[in-house]
Amino acid sequence: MNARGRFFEKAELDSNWPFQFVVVCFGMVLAIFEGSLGLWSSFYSAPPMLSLIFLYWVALHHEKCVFLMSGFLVGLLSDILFSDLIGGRATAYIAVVFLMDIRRPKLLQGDFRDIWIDFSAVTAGVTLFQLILFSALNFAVPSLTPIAFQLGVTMIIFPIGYVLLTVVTSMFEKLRMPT
Amino acid sequence: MRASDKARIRHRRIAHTLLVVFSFSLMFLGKADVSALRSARMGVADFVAPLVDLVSAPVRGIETMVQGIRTVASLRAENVRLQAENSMLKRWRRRAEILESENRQLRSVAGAVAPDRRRAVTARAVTAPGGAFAHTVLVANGSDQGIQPGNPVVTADGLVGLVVDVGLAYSRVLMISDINAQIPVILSSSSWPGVTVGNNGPFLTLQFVPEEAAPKVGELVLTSGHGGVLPAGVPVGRVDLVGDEFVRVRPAVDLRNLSYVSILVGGTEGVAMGDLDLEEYYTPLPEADESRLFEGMNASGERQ
Repeated sequence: MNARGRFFEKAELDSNWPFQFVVVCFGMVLAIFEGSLGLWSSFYSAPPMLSLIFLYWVALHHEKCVFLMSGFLVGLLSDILFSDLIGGRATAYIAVVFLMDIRRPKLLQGDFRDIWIDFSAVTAGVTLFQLILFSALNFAVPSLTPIAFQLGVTMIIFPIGYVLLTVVTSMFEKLRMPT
Repeated sequence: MRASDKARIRHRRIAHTLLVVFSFSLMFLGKADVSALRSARMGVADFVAPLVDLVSAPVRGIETMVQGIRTVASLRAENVRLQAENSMLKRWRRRAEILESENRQLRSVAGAVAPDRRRAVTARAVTAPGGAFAHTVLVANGSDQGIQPGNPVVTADGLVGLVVDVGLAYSRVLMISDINAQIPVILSSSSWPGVTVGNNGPFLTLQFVPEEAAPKVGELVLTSGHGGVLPAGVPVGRVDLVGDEFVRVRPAVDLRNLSYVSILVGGTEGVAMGDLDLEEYYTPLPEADESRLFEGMNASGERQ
């Protein structure tokens, strides 16, 4: 009896692996796409943090599909390709996923404005964390204009990303319903 | 709660702690310039770069389309500007011919012929700076083309940066606007030395300029060639703003629109890498008088 219970428990725990894998893959593609937005002169060196929007949304609404390693892998790829500070964004994303685990129940009780304000605080935190570490390790403060621009654009784009992700998910769920 | 659950939670907590510690230590290892980490980074970049290329294809396409529309919209203004530029270039060509002749004569006297042994390899920029904390780009050529760390990267307008990491088929270029890029330069008209330093922004700062130097707005800033890594005389930018405590330089190359670059391979063989005493090598030249080419004639060749 005991052995059967443990068996089913394990199966239940493992059932989210395919979704977690998809989340990591999609997050990585978004991180690459985010970096390639730098090719547009408008977003030069300051593209919006699309991967953060995605991770935040998944951690808020589909908490079982995201785990600390997801944040780490997505952040690490972004660091390797587009940053000087390897591990900077990875650590920040781990912190985001961890904090979302704690804050989720409260956020889900509020309206969208609360979520937007919370996301803005999270984005500011991620940026500030990277800025402090970057300045400490390089003994120099980088130009703050692109950083502020990136922060602002990410905050502005968040509602669009949020709606898009919600719409796409509901479409998938509708497709799954008949079966 | 069962003992097995407690053990699982404990294991998970340990794993999460280790993950955070590992992630945090990566930052310090990265700054410590550990060669294994650099190799691993370039290995991953080599592996992922084709995917980056694929994902950024639509972005590049849209950017090209927007640029095309902008170009069409500004054709008239462009035509007027080009006519003015053409007229100015004709004057400069005349001046260049005179200087070339003078240069040839001086070289024959001093015997100071310095052949450039560098070979240009054209490479496509795969990425653009994708964050505010690093101004680096991946270019689609690597060690298979003989590229080595330290090779200068240029366009027709001037210096883009230096190759810092080389993979098999891709290389990472540190742009002159990066906070870690420090380029030894000279001011074109007075020949005073200095160092341009990036700050991850659109401009560079000119530092370590002697107090006697008086940079002017619009003055060209060229590489000095000190250290032997960069060839001398490559345009880095123009003085954009002169303040009390700082001199701002606008890069000669529009770094926001990089498509193709030239990597200068070789040419550093036999270069003495020892420290150079700048004061022994540089003395300020007299102010250039650009208003007249000959006594009694203006830049257009008309008698005054």
